[in-house]
Amino acid sequence: MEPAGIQLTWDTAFFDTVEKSQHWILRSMRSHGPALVSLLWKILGNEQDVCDAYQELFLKLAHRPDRDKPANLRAYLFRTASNIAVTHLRRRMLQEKHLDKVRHTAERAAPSSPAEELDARAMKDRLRAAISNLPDYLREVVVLRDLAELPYTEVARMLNIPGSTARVYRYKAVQLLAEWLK
Amino acid sequence: MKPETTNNTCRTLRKKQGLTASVRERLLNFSLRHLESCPRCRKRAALLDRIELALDLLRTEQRPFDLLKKANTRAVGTLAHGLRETPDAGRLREQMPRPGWLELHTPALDKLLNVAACLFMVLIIKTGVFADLTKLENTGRKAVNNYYARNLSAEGLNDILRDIFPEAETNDIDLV
Repeated sequence: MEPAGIQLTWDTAFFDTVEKSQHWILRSMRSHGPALVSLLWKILGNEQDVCDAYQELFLKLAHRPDRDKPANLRAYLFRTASNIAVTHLRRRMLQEKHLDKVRHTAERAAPSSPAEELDARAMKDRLRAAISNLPDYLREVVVLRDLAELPYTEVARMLNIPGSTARVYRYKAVQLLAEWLK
Repeated sequence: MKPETTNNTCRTLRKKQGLTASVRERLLNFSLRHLESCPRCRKRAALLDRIELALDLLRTEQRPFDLLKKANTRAVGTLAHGLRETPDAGRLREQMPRPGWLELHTPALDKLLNVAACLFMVLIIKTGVFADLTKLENTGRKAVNNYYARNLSAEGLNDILRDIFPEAETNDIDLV
């Protein structure tokens, strides 16, 4: 049996190696985690889905092909989080659609009643669904600007587009959403 | 004499600001005038407003307080074993969201408001607002008195005055 001291030395050395190579993941989780969780919550609005998406995000980050820190970590995290969340949302919508078919509930398929229109929750769900159906280039702007609450300059930098284009995309996205949620 | 140089940044900026403000105001007025007369545009504007409102609802939706802690715990659990055991990972598992500026400063703001309210009271006492109120009350009393003096007999007047000002000695009030 090995003495305790030797075991401790080996563990420390191992941790040191790991820390040097991938400790930035934990650092990024600490600094960007709150904003990312907030963004995921606004897109998904469900605790379980948020935890799933957040886990998937950092798993993706840790298993990147080059295993290296992305050049613009903040942009990478926000864009990937948004994409993962939208994928989750689409999957959930598909499941709900399938369940509705199984249940044969006419009321779900029928156009929303005035009472439901007044219901903020229904409105939020409809908006989430509509956002997930936006074209990628418009959706990214709406998510980063309106849900992540980033300034236009940062949104533009993250998406590599001019600030004015970001504003135009956002306006187009809102117009489309208004058209869909008539 | 040499003409004044036009490369004056301050002046250019002032001019531009004035121009922008003027254009913005004109555009706003034009839009409002048009909206008043065009039901189609009004409907479109209402729909856009509705989306902005719904986006606001999404932004302000309350999330569970320990969501960050739960999400971190789940995410840290999937990382490499060596990374999971570091002290940083332990701290992440216990991380709670930072309260916002307003939440953080609410107690101090409350105290500040209380102090401000007290100071305001002291100020209005010092400036004689309450003294003016007493003067105003006396003037009002005199006016009521005079009105009834002109229109009623002395006995009826005293009865009415006793009803209106039970605490005051109606005999002490001067009849003008």
